Amino acid sequence: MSAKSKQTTWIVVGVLALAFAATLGKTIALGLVEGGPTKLLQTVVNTVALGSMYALTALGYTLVYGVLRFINFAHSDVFTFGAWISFAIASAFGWAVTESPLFAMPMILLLAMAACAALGVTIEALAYRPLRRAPRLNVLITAIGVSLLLQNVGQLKFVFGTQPQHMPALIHDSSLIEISGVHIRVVDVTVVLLAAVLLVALEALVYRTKLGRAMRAVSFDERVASLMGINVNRIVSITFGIGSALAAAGGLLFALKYESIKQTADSTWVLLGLKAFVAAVVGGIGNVRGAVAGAVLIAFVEMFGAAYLSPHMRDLYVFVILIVVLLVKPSGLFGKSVVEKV
Amino acid sequence: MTTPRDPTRLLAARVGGFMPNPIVTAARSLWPLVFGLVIAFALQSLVAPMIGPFYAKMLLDIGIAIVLASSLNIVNGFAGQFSIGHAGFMMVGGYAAALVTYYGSIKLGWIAPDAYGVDVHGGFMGSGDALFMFACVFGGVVAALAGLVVGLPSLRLRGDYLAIVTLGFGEIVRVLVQQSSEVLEPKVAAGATLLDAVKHIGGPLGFTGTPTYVSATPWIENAAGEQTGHAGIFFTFMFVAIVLIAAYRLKSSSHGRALLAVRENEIAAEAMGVNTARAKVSAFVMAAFFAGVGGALFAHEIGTTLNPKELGFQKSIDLVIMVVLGGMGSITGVVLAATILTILPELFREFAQYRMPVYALALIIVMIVRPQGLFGIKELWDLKVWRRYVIPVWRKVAGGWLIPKQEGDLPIAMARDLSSERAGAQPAVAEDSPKAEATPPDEDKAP
Repeated sequence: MSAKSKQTTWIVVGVLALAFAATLGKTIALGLVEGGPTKLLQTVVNTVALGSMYALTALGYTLVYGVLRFINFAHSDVFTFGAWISFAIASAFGWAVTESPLFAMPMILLLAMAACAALGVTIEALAYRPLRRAPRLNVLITAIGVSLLLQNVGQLKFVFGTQPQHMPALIHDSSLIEISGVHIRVVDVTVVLLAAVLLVALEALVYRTKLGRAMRAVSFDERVASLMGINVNRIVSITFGIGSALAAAGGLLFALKYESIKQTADSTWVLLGLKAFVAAVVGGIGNVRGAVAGAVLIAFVEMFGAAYLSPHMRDLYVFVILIVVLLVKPSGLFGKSVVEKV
Repeated sequence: MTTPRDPTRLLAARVGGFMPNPIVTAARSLWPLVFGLVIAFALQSLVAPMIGPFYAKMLLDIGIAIVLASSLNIVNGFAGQFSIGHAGFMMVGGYAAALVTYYGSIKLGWIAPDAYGVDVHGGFMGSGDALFMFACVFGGVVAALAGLVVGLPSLRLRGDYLAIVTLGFGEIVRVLVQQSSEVLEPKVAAGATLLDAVKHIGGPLGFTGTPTYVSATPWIENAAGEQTGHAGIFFTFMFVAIVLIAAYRLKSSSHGRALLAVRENEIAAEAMGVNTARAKVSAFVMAAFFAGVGGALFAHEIGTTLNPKELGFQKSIDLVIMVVLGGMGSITGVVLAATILTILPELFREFAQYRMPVYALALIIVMIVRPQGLFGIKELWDLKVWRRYVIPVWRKVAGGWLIPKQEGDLPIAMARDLSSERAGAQPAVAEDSPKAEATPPDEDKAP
């Protein structure tokens, strides 16, 4: 293709994109005017809550990609297991009813996080470690295999079963404040606060501690890191553990907010995990802050698209964003500009 | 056929004086297709009545699975471009074909306007079958166009990112189909425009009412000499034969070798003069074409409905499992895997809930123990057992009429024999050991 025809192609593509954006913008602007501040604020609240859940999950993808350079397809299933395990704990101990939320919530959170961290470490040791030197395609297929295994084992009768369950209300759900007709619920606030605390903790862990420095070293160059006396296998295990624990927290928050928990192989989980993954890729996979930004962006696109364009196509927007980002900047929005990788 | 690059001719020129008869050459390259058609016909008219409708339906499922898995094998096994949205192509082809047969039958007046659903029209190889075959090819072409669109990102992306884009494609197709409205009834459809028809392809419920050209009922003539049932098995296995022959000829052609080179190492392939961009996109287009044909067969199969739920991520994964277990790049391996993985769940219905866990475990274990799949890139006839026991018999039976009397007459066969001799001399090298293929191409790992 000659330079000139390439230029023409780009101009045509640009004009089409502008026209498309203008139409979209008009629809959204009309919707904004029509819906008024109530709808806008409600959408913003939804976006923030959803974004924080995506962020917690996206971080798991990004952390693992950082140290091992592969996409852990099974991560979304760890998220699912997080939701189910917290349900199982809550219903087994009956804490939801008997104890005060200040005791039950942290206990369930910690137990679920510990269980999922153990799950993640086990997966890494059994399935991924033997393939450390294998081609990436094989690791990818193994990851898909692990994902299928978790989904379907979770569905067995003696594990979680195939019936959807209802998460007991751990937090007394009431409206905290009301702004122009929008109730900001306790659950939403809890979700966002907890996610924020965990994100700050992770940030501190990665950038302020010795362990974090070791993780960054492994991410930068595994061989040199091991020469410097870092136990690479241990760091990888820890990374898997942390990522899985964050996914468990995300799962618990999801169960708290949406209350109904579908069977583990249900397509809603797959979609949720995929979107979190999309968030990680869009933000620049391997980049911790990018994952959070990507999560907020994806949640924004999804929620605003659903509210102001068409609620049926919300999955479509996310995947279109993914494909556009990958085609224009395959390293993600923050992939190269921020050099630090975890 | 007289291009100077034709290897037979080159060799002939070197040996001196030997010129193969073009008619004989053509006949020799066509016999696999004829053979395939004969088998398909035998399955339809002899085997199907014998085994009864239940196993006939299983035969159909196997045939369709082979078409789909073999098509995925082209892009996934030969070219090494990992696609996990193959059901998307299947869906595109299936819906395109269903549009043609359903609305086409109504427009052609083959169905009374007040009836619901469309039935098969015409006898064996009649007008209805012609429409159906056209629909299959049409579905393939539409899917191939989609393959072109998805293949283009493969120029910029590799490995896991490409997998994600194909996955995104599959999901987008699914979401779009779910937005459509219910299928129009024949009464309404008679006056519908093309755009109307495209908008009404069933939505989440699926495309109901497609004529069941791919039927499991054995095709027999009754006492009065009328045909009952439909030749679905024949058509399915006709397409199986076509896809297998196409895959085999592709694999042993220079084009297929270019694909294999891209799969092994893209940079090295490019350095050897392979147009990698073209190779990758064409692999996607070919794979999408046959996936579309498979989708078209699926759309007209009895007892199945095209619906976006069934043809989602799960279906793509099923196909990936067939290709991975059978061996990425092995045609016969994938055929075997597709056959076995279609039969097993039917045989072990009472253990249905353990099917997927077992598949998943098998996938993980195969990847760890034998990363190239059961067959690797080898075909059935590359195995020692086959060479020792089957080939001598085959040479005795077919030598002189189906194949040349001496294998050495053909350069490819000669090369194969030579390489096998070499492998025999040093048993420990290359091809047999999984490590040779498992060496990581480390280029993405660089910081």
